[in-house]
Amino acid sequence: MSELLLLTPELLVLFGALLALFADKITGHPRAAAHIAAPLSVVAALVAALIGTRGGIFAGMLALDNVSVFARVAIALLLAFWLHWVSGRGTGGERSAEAVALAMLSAVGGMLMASARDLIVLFISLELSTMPAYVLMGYRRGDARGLEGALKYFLLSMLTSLIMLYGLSFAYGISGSTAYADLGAVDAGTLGQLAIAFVLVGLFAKLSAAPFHYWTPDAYAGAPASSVAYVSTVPKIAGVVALVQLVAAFAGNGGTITVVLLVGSLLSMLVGNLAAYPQTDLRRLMAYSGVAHSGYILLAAAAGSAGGTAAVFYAVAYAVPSMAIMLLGSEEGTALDDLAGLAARRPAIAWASVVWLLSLIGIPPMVGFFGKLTMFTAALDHGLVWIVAVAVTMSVVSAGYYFKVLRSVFFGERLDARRATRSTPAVIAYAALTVVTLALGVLASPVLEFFGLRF
Amino acid sequence: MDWVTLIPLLPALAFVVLAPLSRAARAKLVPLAVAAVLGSLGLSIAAFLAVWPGGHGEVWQASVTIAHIGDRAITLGLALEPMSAIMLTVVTVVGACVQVYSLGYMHREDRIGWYYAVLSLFTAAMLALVLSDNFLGLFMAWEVMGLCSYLLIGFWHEQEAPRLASIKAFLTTKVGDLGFMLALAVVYAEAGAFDFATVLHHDWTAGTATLVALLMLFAAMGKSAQFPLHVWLPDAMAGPTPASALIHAATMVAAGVFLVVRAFPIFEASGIALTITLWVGLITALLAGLLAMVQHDIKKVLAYSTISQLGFMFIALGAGSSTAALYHLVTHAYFKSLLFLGAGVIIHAAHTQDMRQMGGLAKKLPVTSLAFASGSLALAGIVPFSGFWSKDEILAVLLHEHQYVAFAIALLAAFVTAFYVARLWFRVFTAPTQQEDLHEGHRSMLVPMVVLAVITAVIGFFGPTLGDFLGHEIPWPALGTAAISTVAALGGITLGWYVYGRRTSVVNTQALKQRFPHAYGVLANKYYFDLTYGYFVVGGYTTLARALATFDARVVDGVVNGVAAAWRSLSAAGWTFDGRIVDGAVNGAASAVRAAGDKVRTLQTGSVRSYQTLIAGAVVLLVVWILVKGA
Repeated sequence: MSELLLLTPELLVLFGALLALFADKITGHPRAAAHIAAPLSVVAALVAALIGTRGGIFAGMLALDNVSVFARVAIALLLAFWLHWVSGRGTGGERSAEAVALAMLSAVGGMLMASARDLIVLFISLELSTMPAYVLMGYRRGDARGLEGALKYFLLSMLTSLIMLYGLSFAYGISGSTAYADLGAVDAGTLGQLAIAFVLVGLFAKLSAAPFHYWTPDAYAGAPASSVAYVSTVPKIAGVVALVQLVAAFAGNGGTITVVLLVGSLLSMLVGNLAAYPQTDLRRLMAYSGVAHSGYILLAAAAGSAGGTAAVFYAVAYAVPSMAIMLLGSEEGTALDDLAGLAARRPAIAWASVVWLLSLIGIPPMVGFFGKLTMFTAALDHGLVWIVAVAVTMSVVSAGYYFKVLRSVFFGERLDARRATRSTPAVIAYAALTVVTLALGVLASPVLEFFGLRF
Repeated sequence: MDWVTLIPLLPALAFVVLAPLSRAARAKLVPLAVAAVLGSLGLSIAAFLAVWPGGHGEVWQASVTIAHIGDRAITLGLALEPMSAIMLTVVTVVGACVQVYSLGYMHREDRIGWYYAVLSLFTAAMLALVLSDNFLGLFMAWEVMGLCSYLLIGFWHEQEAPRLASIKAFLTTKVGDLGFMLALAVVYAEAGAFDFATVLHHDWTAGTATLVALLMLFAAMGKSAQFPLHVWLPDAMAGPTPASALIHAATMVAAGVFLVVRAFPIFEASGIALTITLWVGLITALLAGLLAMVQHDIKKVLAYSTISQLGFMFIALGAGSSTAALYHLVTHAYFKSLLFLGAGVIIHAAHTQDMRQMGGLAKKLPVTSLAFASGSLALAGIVPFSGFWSKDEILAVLLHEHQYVAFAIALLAAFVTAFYVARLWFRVFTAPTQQEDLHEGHRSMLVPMVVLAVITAVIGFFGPTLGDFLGHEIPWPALGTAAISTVAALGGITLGWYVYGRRTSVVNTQALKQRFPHAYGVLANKYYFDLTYGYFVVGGYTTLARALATFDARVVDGVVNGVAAAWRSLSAAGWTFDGRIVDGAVNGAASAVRAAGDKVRTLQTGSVRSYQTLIAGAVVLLVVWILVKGA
């Protein structure tokens, strides 16, 4: 029983999801259940996660260490922001209770994945975090393009999940155990390396890292921006934690893992940053930007335990401003031209978007800078000088397309006078995301100390 | 001594207080920003006295650890030593003058609060930059300054030109910053730390030192607007004039020079990097000076003049004298900010930036014209104004190092400088009046200018003292070089007077344009730099990006087919593997890709089947690689 207490945050979020789905059937107040009770349960989960007792559960199938606790708090926090935003606006207006529940269920999967120490738990929690995402992406039932994108996401994700499962079965076959602790026995033999490679393929696809990123731009471009805001950020944090822990668990292999990670990193950085530039839709642009950021993360993941922790931190550093931009896109319209004249219409939000975009480029004092700094120094400590040089170059190149967004924000007038829907909770969510972007950058050291994280 | 931390912290706090407030509340709190910078000024003077009489070493140091990477600690720290003490006084004096001046200059602006907030943040960043005891902290402050520069250039973002200029400035300097970031990466990989003490005392091999030095030089060229990365600075004049005075003349643009001064031991270890620095400086000093000759916009003249003077600092660095560079940095900061503030008064009075529509301002604006004269004479290099001493020191260093070609070019640049100063002066102040309704600036604008004018007039006499303070020697000018440089300066001024100053001469650029159409065209088009960049760099980048975005599937096709073919031939040659399974898989994937290839024109086709094939292809490649590599 005391072990179950460690899972309080997950259970609270799960409870909230059920509330969102079923409370209205009992009380007859759908909005109250989905937009008040459910977010409150997430806040409670956040508090519980912050208290964050460390320890193992279920004979070590789940374990909460500093990194897992950090990731869990980040997931709960971003979920809370997202729910707050949705509460003011609704997702597509109708059926918002379902969207709330789906996102919360996905978050439960993510939180479990962050503390998984067993291949079976990993796979189940991975699926739990992705399944609701398919539905969220195809949320507008009448929209053929959205459904097509969601279906693509589903099919491609299934393919890579199966490849990953195949790899997991190899790993089990070699080590005779599904526990991470025994994966060191997956030695450098050919089969072991194949196991590792297949597992990485699955995780690459979840992180939309090249060359397994194809689903991302299409799925994002068809989906409602509010869904993209969630799916492109929160599950990614959990995915990075899983990746980092698996890389550490597979320590005994002959360098295959490093090569695969670095090749993936290189491809993602190049493809993501270069392909983002000509995009005219914010969702596609951010999809490629996500590919690029996964590239930086893979680089850090290849740089030992210091790099691994830095990668997890960066996943959060990426998720916060990225979610903010997509949410803004959902309000204002997702074509870059829709953002035109935002500075004149909503100056405060326009300046907040400057903070988000500069953080994504990696300008101090925003969190993106600190994240990149720790990742790249960790990689340099591992002697990865040349690929760090590429990463640094690419992060400068990225300024080009992020500035395209800023140019839209500050230039010109929007052509159609359609008044964007606005809501107070949304503004609060933007403010909160901006504060986190800045505070996590300026106060990174105390935050890391609080979670006991060391790179 | 921990109060030194307050020097950058006070303006930073002013920003933190002002930034989140409403427009009206910010405007009311403007005095807070001024008070903060005056507080920093007082503390900087105290810090200067604490270091006095200087000569060596750091007086105070403090650092915090921001992260542990493995078993290494990444620290950020501040250190007070002679060079930072001097820079502190320069930045706070100019900063305070500009902020007081802006009270008058910007008082009708309803976003004055935001202006002061950003100005405060900038001042904080610049102070942190000069105090920083490591390259990482220097870089962070450097980036924040770039950000403030972007915000201030685009201050009037409802207009087209400032918006474009702000983005151009940010992206151009960002290209330079790439050099800084790569340099940091190499420094960390090589020395394992960022702090000056460790990095500068590291045993640099010539090759690595050259790499780091050139990367840093590139960064410095971006920030200090050296050819060919100078294109952003003239456009940056779209920002408010006092901000130009502080950021784009006195302080931020000098940060590039400051970086090279800080990293000077690495440059010395390299050798070749110094030569390159010298030539960058020479080319910039001369070409930018020539460009200043044909500008009609008074601020653009000053902008090109700034580029040219920064070039002089690079010349000093390249000749091996970081002291001379720092000396010129200090004198230039005072006289150039003075000139910009003067230009601000002139623009306010004349309601135009075009010098062709000015004239006769000397009678109408007596205080401004006197102050402007002090700055102009300093810029032209006339004894005893400050620019004379520091420019003379640079020329003396060149002679001492037997760099005669460089000496000749620098002298020519000095001549050109004197010419365009004369052109500006005679056009604006003594040419026939074209406007009647001209008013002298407000007192809050005149007082800072007078302060700067006095400093400009007298600071030259403290050269040797400054040298002692830094622990290096700055001798009094030798009569020979002083004579040569004075002749060059007077020659330039005389020619300027001959062309623009005489009562009878209505000679103007128009006449010159007719007489030398080709030369004028090249100069007027700024050597076609902007056009070239627009066409090749931006165009090339866009093309590359487009190409990648719609990557032709045939490339991927080709790779997969090629691997398959290679694999087939390998296994046919009796490779020890059981080839059949892999072969089959590869062939299957390859034929699938080929089949898809007919329909697939681009990588991002939208077709699930082609995506699946691409994924399968990648997995096959992975498998093949592992099998070939073996255990």
